[in-house]
Amino acid sequence: MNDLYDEYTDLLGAYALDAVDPAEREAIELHLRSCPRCRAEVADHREVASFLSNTGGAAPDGVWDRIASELSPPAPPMRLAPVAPASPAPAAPTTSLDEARRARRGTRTALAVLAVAACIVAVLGFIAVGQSNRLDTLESALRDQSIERQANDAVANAELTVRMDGEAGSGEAVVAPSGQGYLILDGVAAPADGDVYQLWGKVDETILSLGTFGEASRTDDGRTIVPFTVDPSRLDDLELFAVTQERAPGVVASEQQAILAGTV
Amino acid sequence: MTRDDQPADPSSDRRERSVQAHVEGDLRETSDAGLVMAISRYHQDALAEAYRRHAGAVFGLARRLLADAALAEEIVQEVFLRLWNDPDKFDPGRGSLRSFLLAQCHGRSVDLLRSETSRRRREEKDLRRTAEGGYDLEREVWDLTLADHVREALDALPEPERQAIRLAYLGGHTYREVASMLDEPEGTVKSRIRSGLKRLRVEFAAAGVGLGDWT
Repeated sequence: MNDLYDEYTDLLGAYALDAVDPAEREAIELHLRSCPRCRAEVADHREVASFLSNTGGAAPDGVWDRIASELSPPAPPMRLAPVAPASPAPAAPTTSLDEARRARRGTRTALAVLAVAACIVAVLGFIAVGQSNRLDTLESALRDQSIERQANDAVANAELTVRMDGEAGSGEAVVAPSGQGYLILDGVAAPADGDVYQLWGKVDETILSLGTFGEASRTDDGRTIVPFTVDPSRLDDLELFAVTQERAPGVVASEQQAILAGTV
Repeated sequence: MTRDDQPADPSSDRRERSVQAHVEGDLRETSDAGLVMAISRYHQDALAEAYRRHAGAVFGLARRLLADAALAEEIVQEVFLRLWNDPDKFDPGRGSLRSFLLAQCHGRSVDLLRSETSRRRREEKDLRRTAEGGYDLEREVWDLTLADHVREALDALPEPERQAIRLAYLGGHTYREVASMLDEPEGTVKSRIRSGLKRLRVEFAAAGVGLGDWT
Protein backbone atom coordinates (compact mmCIF):
# COMPACT_ATOMS: atom_id res chain seq x y z
CA MET A 1 0.00 0.00 0.00
CA ASN A 2 1.41 3.40 -0.84
CA ASP A 3 0.66 6.73 0.79
CA LEU A 4 -1.71 7.88 -1.92
CA TYR A 5 -3.72 4.70 -1.64
CA ASP A 6 -3.93 5.15 2.12
CA GLU A 7 -5.13 8.68 1.59
CA TYR A 8 -8.01 7.38 -0.48
CA THR A 9 -8.90 4.50 1.79
CA ASP A 10 -8.84 6.80 4.81
CA LEU A 11 -11.59 8.85 3.21
CA LEU A 12 -13.84 5.96 2.19
CA GLY A 13 -16.04 6.08 5.28
CA ALA A 14 -16.62 9.82 5.01
CA TYR A 15 -17.13 9.50 1.27
CA ALA A 16 -19.76 6.80 1.71
CA LEU A 17 -21.66 9.18 4.01
CA ASP A 18 -21.36 12.10 1.57
CA ALA A 19 -19.18 13.83 4.13
CA VAL A 20 -16.30 14.88 1.89
CA ASP A 21 -15.66 18.08 -0.06
CA PRO A 22 -16.46 18.18 -3.79
CA ALA A 23 -12.77 18.01 -4.77
CA GLU A 24 -12.21 15.00 -2.54
CA ARG A 25 -15.32 13.36 -3.90
CA GLU A 26 -14.08 13.79 -7.44
CA ALA A 27 -10.67 12.33 -6.62
CA ILE A 28 -12.17 9.34 -4.83
CA GLU A 29 -14.61 8.63 -7.62
CA LEU A 30 -11.76 8.62 -10.08
CA HIS A 31 -9.90 6.15 -7.88
CA LEU A 32 -12.99 3.97 -7.39
CA ARG A 33 -13.31 3.41 -11.11
CA SER A 34 -10.14 1.37 -11.10
CA CYS A 35 -10.28 -0.12 -7.61
CA PRO A 36 -12.85 -2.86 -7.02
CA ARG A 37 -11.63 -3.31 -3.47
CA CYS A 38 -12.42 0.27 -2.50
CA ARG A 39 -15.74 0.10 -4.37
CA ALA A 40 -16.66 -2.90 -2.27
CA GLU A 41 -15.71 -1.08 0.91
CA VAL A 42 -17.89 1.91 0.00
CA ALA A 43 -20.80 -0.43 -0.74
CA ASP A 44 -20.29 -2.04 2.68
CA HIS A 45 -20.29 1.32 4.44
CA ARG A 46 -23.49 2.37 2.67
CA GLU A 47 -25.12 -0.88 3.59
CA VAL A 48 -24.29 -0.26 7.24
CA ALA A 49 -25.46 3.35 7.02
CA SER A 50 -28.79 2.23 5.62
CA PHE A 51 -29.60 0.91 9.09
CA LEU A 52 -28.88 4.16 10.83
CA SER A 53 -31.93 6.17 9.92
CA ASN A 54 -35.57 5.77 10.74
CA THR A 55 -36.72 2.70 8.88
CA GLY A 56 -40.35 2.80 9.94
CA GLY A 57 -43.33 4.68 8.61
CA ALA A 58 -44.43 5.38 5.10
CA ALA A 59 -44.05 8.25 2.72
CA PRO A 60 -46.89 10.78 2.87
CA ASP A 61 -50.04 10.45 0.88
CA GLY A 62 -49.91 11.65 -2.67
CA VAL A 63 -46.21 11.11 -3.34
CA TRP A 64 -46.79 7.85 -5.18
CA ASP A 65 -49.53 9.40 -7.29
CA ARG A 66 -47.17 12.15 -8.36
CA ILE A 67 -44.51 9.60 -9.26
CA ALA A 68 -47.00 7.44 -11.18
CA SER A 69 -48.18 10.42 -13.17
CA GLU A 70 -44.64 11.03 -14.40
CA LEU A 71 -43.77 7.53 -15.49
CA SER A 72 -42.95 7.11 -19.12
CA PRO A 73 -45.26 4.84 -21.10
CA PRO A 74 -44.35 1.16 -21.23
CA ALA A 75 -42.69 1.21 -24.65
CA PRO A 76 -41.03 4.51 -25.44
CA PRO A 77 -40.21 5.05 -29.10
CA MET A 78 -36.77 5.48 -30.64
CA ARG A 79 -34.63 3.43 -28.39
CA LEU A 80 -31.46 2.02 -29.87
CA ALA A 81 -32.11 -1.42 -28.53
CA PRO A 82 -35.75 -1.62 -27.63
CA VAL A 83 -36.98 -3.72 -24.79
CA ALA A 84 -39.52 -6.43 -25.44
CA PRO A 85 -42.99 -5.22 -24.47
CA ALA A 86 -43.89 -5.80 -20.88
CA SER A 87 -47.31 -7.22 -21.53
CA PRO A 88 -48.00 -9.89 -24.14
CA ALA A 89 -48.50 -8.21 -27.49
CA PRO A 90 -49.70 -9.96 -30.62
CA ALA A 91 -46.81 -10.86 -32.89
CA ALA A 92 -46.66 -8.87 -36.08
CA PRO A 93 -48.52 -10.63 -38.90
CA THR A 94 -46.12 -12.58 -41.04
CA THR A 95 -46.40 -11.86 -44.71
CA SER A 96 -45.17 -14.22 -47.37
CA LEU A 97 -42.39 -11.78 -48.19
CA ASP A 98 -41.33 -11.84 -44.62
CA GLU A 99 -41.36 -15.57 -44.67
CA ALA A 100 -39.17 -15.69 -47.74
CA ARG A 101 -36.75 -13.23 -46.23
CA ARG A 102 -36.55 -15.09 -42.99
CA ALA A 103 -36.24 -18.46 -44.70
CA ARG A 104 -33.11 -17.25 -46.47
CA ARG A 105 -31.38 -16.43 -43.29
CA GLY A 106 -32.85 -19.40 -41.52
CA THR A 107 -30.61 -21.89 -39.90
CA ARG A 108 -30.29 -25.60 -39.99
CA THR A 109 -29.81 -25.55 -36.27
CA ALA A 110 -32.45 -27.84 -34.97
CA LEU A 111 -34.36 -25.69 -32.61
CA ALA A 112 -37.93 -26.44 -33.33
CA VAL A 113 -38.60 -25.80 -29.68
CA LEU A 114 -38.52 -22.13 -30.33
CA ALA A 115 -41.35 -22.40 -32.81
CA VAL A 116 -43.73 -23.38 -30.08
CA ALA A 117 -46.19 -20.59 -29.69
CA ALA A 118 -46.76 -21.57 -26.11
CA CYS A 119 -43.41 -20.20 -25.06
CA ILE A 120 -43.79 -18.29 -21.87
CA VAL A 121 -41.92 -15.15 -21.27
CA ALA A 122 -40.95 -14.71 -17.71
CA VAL A 123 -41.89 -11.20 -16.94
CA LEU A 124 -40.39 -11.59 -13.54
CA GLY A 125 -38.73 -14.07 -11.36
CA PHE A 126 -36.48 -16.74 -12.69
CA ILE A 127 -34.79 -15.03 -15.52
CA ALA A 128 -35.11 -11.55 -16.75
CA VAL A 129 -33.33 -8.92 -18.64
CA GLY A 130 -30.73 -6.67 -17.16
CA GLN A 131 -29.69 -4.96 -20.30
CA SER A 132 -28.31 -1.61 -21.12
CA ASN A 133 -31.18 -1.00 -23.44
CA ARG A 134 -32.62 1.99 -21.67
CA LEU A 135 -29.69 4.23 -22.29
CA ASP A 136 -29.41 6.88 -24.86
CA THR A 137 -26.66 6.97 -27.45
CA LEU A 138 -24.08 8.75 -25.36
CA GLU A 139 -24.51 6.70 -22.24
CA SER A 140 -24.49 3.59 -24.33
CA ALA A 141 -21.18 4.55 -25.89
CA LEU A 142 -19.66 5.32 -22.51
CA ARG A 143 -20.96 2.12 -21.10
CA ASP A 144 -19.59 -0.06 -23.87
CA GLN A 145 -16.09 0.13 -22.51
CA SER A 146 -17.16 -0.97 -19.09
CA ILE A 147 -19.32 -3.73 -20.55
CA GLU A 148 -16.31 -5.01 -22.44
CA ARG A 149 -14.31 -5.04 -19.25
CA GLN A 150 -17.07 -6.72 -17.31
CA ALA A 151 -17.58 -9.28 -20.05
CA ASN A 152 -13.86 -10.09 -20.03
CA ASP A 153 -14.01 -10.52 -16.26
CA ALA A 154 -17.02 -12.79 -16.65
CA VAL A 155 -15.17 -14.93 -19.18
CA ALA A 156 -12.33 -15.33 -16.71
CA ASN A 157 -14.63 -16.32 -13.85
CA ALA A 158 -17.41 -18.07 -15.72
CA GLU A 159 -19.52 -20.63 -13.93
CA LEU A 160 -21.02 -21.63 -17.24
CA THR A 161 -19.69 -21.22 -20.77
CA VAL A 162 -21.83 -22.15 -23.74
CA ARG A 163 -20.53 -22.18 -27.29
CA MET A 164 -22.98 -20.51 -29.66
CA ASP A 165 -23.02 -21.32 -33.38
CA GLY A 166 -25.27 -20.65 -36.32
CA GLU A 167 -25.42 -19.02 -39.67
CA ALA A 168 -25.38 -15.55 -38.19
CA GLY A 169 -21.92 -16.04 -36.68
CA SER A 170 -20.46 -17.58 -33.59
CA GLY A 171 -19.53 -16.75 -30.07
CA GLU A 172 -20.27 -17.80 -26.53
CA ALA A 173 -22.57 -17.14 -23.64
CA VAL A 174 -20.83 -16.93 -20.28
CA VAL A 175 -22.53 -16.73 -16.91
CA ALA A 176 -20.77 -15.77 -13.68
CA PRO A 177 -21.77 -17.45 -10.39
CA SER A 178 -23.74 -14.29 -9.53
CA GLY A 179 -26.06 -14.98 -12.47
CA GLN A 180 -24.69 -12.08 -14.48
CA GLY A 181 -24.22 -13.31 -18.02
CA TYR A 182 -22.79 -11.98 -21.25
CA LEU A 183 -23.43 -13.04 -24.78
CA ILE A 184 -20.26 -12.35 -26.75
CA LEU A 185 -20.54 -12.74 -30.49
CA ASP A 186 -18.12 -12.35 -33.37
CA GLY A 187 -19.04 -11.25 -36.84
CA VAL A 188 -22.75 -10.78 -36.31
CA ALA A 189 -24.18 -8.26 -38.75
CA ALA A 190 -26.61 -5.59 -37.63
CA PRO A 191 -30.20 -6.79 -37.71
CA ALA A 192 -32.29 -5.81 -40.73
CA ASP A 193 -34.07 -2.47 -40.55
CA GLY A 194 -36.94 -2.63 -38.12
CA ASP A 195 -35.70 -5.89 -36.62
CA VAL A 196 -33.94 -6.77 -33.41
CA TYR A 197 -32.15 -9.84 -32.20
CA GLN A 198 -33.72 -11.56 -29.25
CA LEU A 199 -31.88 -13.80 -26.81
CA TRP A 200 -33.69 -16.78 -25.28
CA GLY A 201 -32.82 -19.21 -22.54
CA LYS A 202 -34.44 -22.54 -21.82
CA VAL A 203 -34.87 -23.53 -18.20
CA ASP A 204 -36.54 -26.86 -17.61
CA GLU A 205 -39.29 -26.81 -20.20
CA THR A 206 -39.73 -23.08 -20.28
CA ILE A 207 -38.27 -20.74 -22.85
CA LEU A 208 -37.65 -17.29 -21.49
CA SER A 209 -36.76 -14.06 -23.19
CA LEU A 210 -33.47 -12.70 -21.91
CA GLY A 211 -33.77 -9.48 -23.82
CA THR A 212 -33.30 -7.89 -27.20
CA PHE A 213 -30.25 -6.31 -28.77
CA GLY A 214 -29.10 -4.73 -31.98
CA GLU A 215 -26.56 -2.41 -33.47
CA ALA A 216 -26.07 -0.60 -30.15
CA SER A 217 -24.54 -3.71 -28.60
CA ARG A 218 -21.66 -3.79 -31.07
CA THR A 219 -18.27 -2.79 -29.73
CA ASP A 220 -15.49 -1.02 -31.55
CA ASP A 221 -13.68 -4.24 -32.31
CA GLY A 222 -16.69 -5.63 -34.15
CA ARG A 223 -17.87 -7.92 -31.38
CA THR A 224 -21.38 -7.85 -30.02
CA ILE A 225 -21.65 -7.95 -26.23
CA VAL A 226 -25.02 -8.33 -24.59
CA PRO A 227 -25.40 -8.44 -20.80
CA PHE A 228 -28.19 -10.51 -19.34
CA THR A 229 -29.16 -11.87 -15.96
CA VAL A 230 -30.06 -15.37 -14.86
CA ASP A 231 -31.30 -16.42 -11.47
CA PRO A 232 -28.10 -17.93 -10.02
CA SER A 233 -30.08 -20.65 -8.24
CA ARG A 234 -31.36 -21.89 -11.58
CA LEU A 235 -28.01 -22.11 -13.36
CA ASP A 236 -28.04 -25.88 -13.15
CA ASP A 237 -31.40 -26.01 -14.90
CA LEU A 238 -30.31 -24.02 -17.92
CA GLU A 239 -30.49 -26.15 -21.05
CA LEU A 240 -29.81 -23.87 -23.97
CA PHE A 241 -29.38 -20.36 -25.26
CA ALA A 242 -30.66 -19.26 -28.65
CA VAL A 243 -30.91 -16.05 -30.66
CA THR A 244 -33.70 -15.23 -33.10
CA GLN A 245 -34.33 -12.23 -35.30
CA GLU A 246 -37.64 -10.52 -34.63
CA ARG A 247 -39.51 -7.42 -35.59
CA ALA A 248 -38.75 -4.58 -33.16
CA PRO A 249 -39.38 -4.29 -30.30
CA GLY A 250 -39.24 -8.08 -29.92
CA VAL A 251 -41.85 -10.72 -29.30
CA VAL A 252 -43.33 -12.59 -26.41
CA ALA A 253 -43.08 -15.98 -28.14
CA SER A 254 -40.87 -16.56 -31.11
CA GLU A 255 -42.01 -18.28 -34.27
CA GLN A 256 -38.62 -17.90 -35.90
CA GLN A 257 -35.86 -20.42 -36.19
CA ALA A 258 -32.73 -19.68 -34.21
CA ILE A 259 -29.92 -17.95 -36.04
CA LEU A 260 -27.56 -18.91 -33.24
CA ALA A 261 -27.83 -21.53 -30.57
CA GLY A 262 -25.84 -23.45 -28.04
CA THR A 263 -26.77 -26.22 -25.64
CA VAL A 264 -25.41 -26.34 -22.14
CA MET B 1 -52.80 15.91 -1.01
CA THR B 2 -51.56 16.36 2.50
CA ARG B 3 -48.13 17.43 3.50
CA ASP B 4 -48.79 16.57 7.07
CA ASP B 5 -45.66 16.12 9.06
CA GLN B 6 -47.28 13.95 11.72
CA PRO B 7 -46.28 10.29 11.70
CA ALA B 8 -49.74 9.19 12.86
CA ASP B 9 -51.40 10.07 9.61
CA PRO B 10 -54.99 8.80 9.63
CA SER B 11 -54.94 8.48 5.86
CA SER B 12 -52.02 6.07 5.91
CA ASP B 13 -54.29 3.04 5.62
CA ARG B 14 -55.96 4.46 2.59
CA ARG B 15 -52.64 5.32 1.06
CA GLU B 16 -51.30 1.84 1.74
CA ARG B 17 -54.32 0.38 0.00
CA SER B 18 -53.96 2.65 -2.98
CA VAL B 19 -50.32 1.70 -3.41
CA GLN B 20 -51.23 -1.92 -2.92
CA ALA B 21 -53.76 -1.65 -5.68
CA HIS B 22 -50.82 -1.12 -8.01
CA VAL B 23 -49.03 -4.16 -6.81
CA GLU B 24 -49.71 -7.57 -8.21
CA GLY B 25 -49.66 -10.50 -5.85
CA ASP B 26 -46.59 -12.07 -7.46
CA LEU B 27 -44.49 -9.00 -6.98
CA ARG B 28 -44.83 -9.30 -3.25
CA GLU B 29 -42.69 -12.42 -3.44
CA THR B 30 -40.15 -11.01 -5.86
CA SER B 31 -36.67 -10.11 -4.65
CA ASP B 32 -35.53 -6.51 -4.87
CA ALA B 33 -33.17 -7.46 -7.68
CA GLY B 34 -36.07 -9.06 -9.53
CA LEU B 35 -38.10 -5.90 -9.08
CA VAL B 36 -35.37 -3.81 -10.63
CA MET B 37 -35.17 -6.18 -13.59
CA ALA B 38 -38.90 -5.78 -14.05
CA ILE B 39 -38.54 -2.01 -13.74
CA SER B 40 -35.94 -2.10 -16.50
CA ARG B 41 -38.66 -3.65 -18.62
CA TYR B 42 -41.02 -0.81 -17.80
CA HIS B 43 -43.18 -2.60 -15.26
CA GLN B 44 -44.82 0.14 -13.32
CA ASP B 45 -46.17 -2.38 -10.83
CA ALA B 46 -42.64 -3.36 -9.94
CA LEU B 47 -41.81 0.26 -9.20
CA ALA B 48 -44.92 0.48 -7.06
CA GLU B 49 -43.73 -2.52 -5.07
CA ALA B 50 -40.23 -1.08 -4.66
CA TYR B 51 -41.91 2.11 -3.46
CA ARG B 52 -44.08 0.20 -1.03
CA ARG B 53 -41.01 -1.46 0.45
CA HIS B 54 -38.62 1.46 0.66
CA ALA B 55 -40.30 4.84 0.21
CA GLY B 56 -40.91 5.19 3.95
CA ALA B 57 -37.22 4.81 4.74
CA VAL B 58 -36.23 7.18 1.95
CA PHE B 59 -38.71 9.77 3.15
CA GLY B 60 -37.62 9.32 6.77
CA LEU B 61 -33.97 9.93 5.95
CA ALA B 62 -34.66 12.92 3.72
CA ARG B 63 -36.91 14.53 6.31
CA ARG B 64 -34.37 13.88 9.04
CA LEU B 65 -31.67 15.60 7.00
CA LEU B 66 -33.70 18.46 5.60
CA ALA B 67 -36.16 18.99 8.45
CA ASP B 68 -38.71 19.82 5.81
CA ALA B 69 -41.45 17.39 4.80
CA ALA B 70 -42.24 19.04 1.49
CA LEU B 71 -38.60 18.95 0.38
CA ALA B 72 -38.35 15.36 1.58
CA GLU B 73 -41.32 14.42 -0.58
CA GLU B 74 -39.57 15.90 -3.57
CA ILE B 75 -36.50 13.82 -2.79
CA VAL B 76 -38.62 10.65 -2.61
CA GLN B 77 -40.15 11.50 -5.95
CA GLU B 78 -36.76 12.16 -7.50
CA VAL B 79 -35.17 9.01 -6.13
CA PHE B 80 -37.91 6.72 -7.44
CA LEU B 81 -38.16 8.45 -10.81
CA ARG B 82 -34.43 8.06 -11.14
CA LEU B 83 -34.78 4.36 -10.43
CA TRP B 84 -37.44 4.19 -13.12
CA ASN B 85 -35.42 6.10 -15.69
CA ASP B 86 -32.05 4.55 -14.91
CA PRO B 87 -32.52 1.12 -13.36
CA ASP B 88 -29.11 0.04 -14.65
CA LYS B 89 -27.48 2.29 -12.08
CA PHE B 90 -28.45 -0.25 -9.43
CA ASP B 91 -26.02 -3.13 -9.30
CA PRO B 92 -27.34 -5.97 -7.11
CA GLY B 93 -23.77 -7.21 -6.76
CA ARG B 94 -22.89 -4.06 -4.87
CA GLY B 95 -25.47 -3.94 -2.13
CA SER B 96 -29.17 -3.96 -1.44
CA LEU B 97 -31.74 -1.87 -3.24
CA ARG B 98 -32.55 -0.18 0.05
CA SER B 99 -29.00 0.97 0.64
CA PHE B 100 -28.80 2.10 -3.00
CA LEU B 101 -31.97 4.18 -2.68
CA LEU B 102 -30.94 5.58 0.69
CA ALA B 103 -27.50 6.50 -0.67
CA GLN B 104 -29.17 8.35 -3.54
CA CYS B 105 -31.51 10.04 -1.11
CA HIS B 106 -28.68 10.98 1.21
CA GLY B 107 -26.52 12.41 -1.58
CA ARG B 108 -29.36 14.46 -2.97
CA SER B 109 -30.48 15.72 0.43
CA VAL B 110 -26.96 16.70 1.38
CA ASP B 111 -26.56 18.56 -1.92
CA LEU B 112 -29.66 20.54 -1.04
CA LEU B 113 -28.47 21.14 2.51
CA ARG B 114 -25.19 22.49 1.30
CA SER B 115 -26.68 24.91 -1.13
CA GLU B 116 -25.91 28.41 0.06
CA THR B 117 -29.21 29.57 1.47
CA SER B 118 -30.06 26.47 3.39
CA ARG B 119 -26.53 26.26 4.72
CA ARG B 120 -26.86 29.67 6.25
CA ARG B 121 -30.19 28.72 7.75
CA ARG B 122 -28.80 25.53 9.15
CA GLU B 123 -25.78 27.17 10.67
CA GLU B 124 -28.06 29.47 12.62
CA LYS B 125 -30.08 26.50 13.75
CA ASP B 126 -26.91 24.62 14.76
CA LEU B 127 -25.76 27.55 16.81
CA ARG B 128 -29.09 27.61 18.60
CA ARG B 129 -28.99 23.89 19.22
CA THR B 130 -25.42 24.01 20.52
CA ALA B 131 -26.40 26.84 22.82
CA GLU B 132 -29.35 24.83 24.09
CA GLY B 133 -26.99 22.23 25.45
CA GLY B 134 -25.20 19.66 23.40
CA TYR B 135 -25.64 18.41 19.91
CA ASP B 136 -27.19 15.04 20.52
CA LEU B 137 -28.37 14.26 17.06
CA GLU B 138 -31.70 12.53 16.74
CA ARG B 139 -31.20 10.38 19.75
CA GLU B 140 -34.83 9.35 19.69
CA VAL B 141 -34.51 7.96 16.19
CA TRP B 142 -31.67 5.75 17.16
CA ASP B 143 -33.35 4.60 20.32
CA LEU B 144 -36.95 4.15 19.31
CA THR B 145 -37.08 2.99 15.77
CA LEU B 146 -34.20 0.58 15.40
CA ALA B 147 -34.51 -3.04 16.16
CA ASP B 148 -32.92 -4.14 19.39
CA HIS B 149 -29.94 -5.85 17.87
CA VAL B 150 -29.12 -2.87 15.72
CA ARG B 151 -29.25 -0.67 18.78
CA GLU B 152 -27.01 -3.04 20.67
CA ALA B 153 -24.47 -2.85 17.90
CA LEU B 154 -24.66 0.92 18.07
CA ASP B 155 -24.24 0.88 21.81
CA ALA B 156 -21.11 -1.19 21.42
CA LEU B 157 -19.54 1.58 19.38
CA PRO B 158 -17.16 3.93 21.19
CA GLU B 159 -18.96 7.24 21.69
CA PRO B 160 -16.50 9.34 19.61
CA GLU B 161 -17.09 7.08 16.60
CA ARG B 162 -20.84 7.08 17.07
CA GLN B 163 -20.89 10.82 17.39
CA ALA B 164 -18.80 11.37 14.25
CA ILE B 165 -21.03 9.04 12.23
CA ARG B 166 -24.19 10.69 13.56
CA LEU B 167 -23.08 14.17 12.70
CA ALA B 168 -21.91 13.14 9.25
CA TYR B 169 -24.74 10.84 8.26
CA LEU B 170 -27.81 12.15 10.05
CA GLY B 171 -26.57 15.71 10.35
CA GLY B 172 -25.34 15.92 6.77
CA HIS B 173 -22.04 17.53 7.77
CA THR B 174 -18.70 16.99 6.07
CA TYR B 175 -15.99 15.43 8.19
CA ARG B 176 -14.25 18.81 8.23
CA GLU B 177 -17.37 20.43 9.66
CA VAL B 178 -17.67 17.64 12.19
CA ALA B 179 -14.05 18.17 13.19
CA SER B 180 -14.62 21.82 13.77
CA MET B 181 -17.85 21.22 15.68
CA LEU B 182 -16.13 18.72 17.97
CA ASP B 183 -12.86 20.61 18.05
CA GLU B 184 -10.96 17.52 16.95
CA PRO B 185 -8.32 17.12 14.21
CA GLU B 186 -9.83 16.43 10.78
CA GLY B 187 -7.75 13.29 10.32
CA THR B 188 -9.06 11.87 13.56
CA VAL B 189 -12.68 12.42 12.59
CA LYS B 190 -12.13 10.97 9.13
CA SER B 191 -10.60 7.84 10.64
CA ARG B 192 -13.30 7.54 13.28
CA ILE B 193 -16.05 7.56 10.70
CA ARG B 194 -14.39 4.77 8.78
CA SER B 195 -13.43 2.66 11.77
CA GLY B 196 -16.89 3.16 13.28
CA LEU B 197 -18.62 1.96 10.13
CA LYS B 198 -16.32 -1.05 9.98
CA ARG B 199 -16.96 -1.84 13.61
CA LEU B 200 -20.70 -1.53 13.09
CA ARG B 201 -20.55 -3.96 10.23
CA VAL B 202 -18.80 -6.51 12.41
CA GLU B 203 -21.28 -5.89 15.23
CA PHE B 204 -24.24 -6.20 12.87
CA ALA B 205 -22.89 -9.46 11.53
CA ALA B 206 -22.33 -10.81 15.04
CA ALA B 207 -25.86 -9.76 16.06
CA GLY B 208 -27.29 -11.46 13.01
CA VAL B 209 -28.50 -8.31 11.32
CA GLY B 210 -29.01 -9.40 7.75
CA LEU B 211 -27.16 -6.82 5.76
CA GLY B 212 -28.84 -6.46 2.43
CA ASP B 213 -31.84 -8.56 3.37
CA TRP B 214 -34.84 -6.29 3.14
CA THR B 215 -37.35 -8.30 1.17
